[in-house]
Amino acid sequence: MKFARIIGRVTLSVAEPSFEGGRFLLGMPSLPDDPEARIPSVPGKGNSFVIYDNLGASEGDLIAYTDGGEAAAPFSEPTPCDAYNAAILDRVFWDPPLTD
Amino acid sequence: MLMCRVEGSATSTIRHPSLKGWRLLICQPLSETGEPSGLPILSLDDLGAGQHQLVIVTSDGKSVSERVGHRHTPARYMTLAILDEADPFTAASKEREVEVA
Repeated sequence: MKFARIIGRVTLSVAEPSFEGGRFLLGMPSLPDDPEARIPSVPGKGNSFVIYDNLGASEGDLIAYTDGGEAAAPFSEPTPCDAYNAAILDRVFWDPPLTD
Repeated sequence: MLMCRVEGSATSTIRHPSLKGWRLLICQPLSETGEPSGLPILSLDDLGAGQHQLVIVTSDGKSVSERVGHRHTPARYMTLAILDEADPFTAASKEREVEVA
């Protein structure tokens, strides 16, 4: 799983039937910083991407998402899903070693 | 498999049911010289890896789903091994120095 900060929502009316029960969010790749910060922290340039969500994440949340093949694994039928919200993070302890 | 440094942990209440009971570790993938490469990832852990320890993390979703015991898990990364305290990067660079000399 990777870290992303939710920055918005995608609304649509017609979708693949297997997507039923979920919705789509817009996320930015993020560092594992404070979930309370509400703003994306992105080193350098990052592209926003659409994430399938059935947990109910909202704008500003820090989530753990899965991309690639495993993003389609939670669905019971083959589904064209590229990014899947696996967890909404409550607390993050992140302490990288100091570099000189 | 990736060599990573453990840089922290995360907790989550609302998550995929298959992640229940698993420790979530923040792991920074390292290059062959020991430099951080790419953004930190979140890895499942049942070994009890400690802060700043070096670990081997698998990126094979199939074997992780077997280990988790849930066919439909979205998890991909899991710690497989904790490296001994000896610093593999200094050892590797010393070997290279010998080769050059």
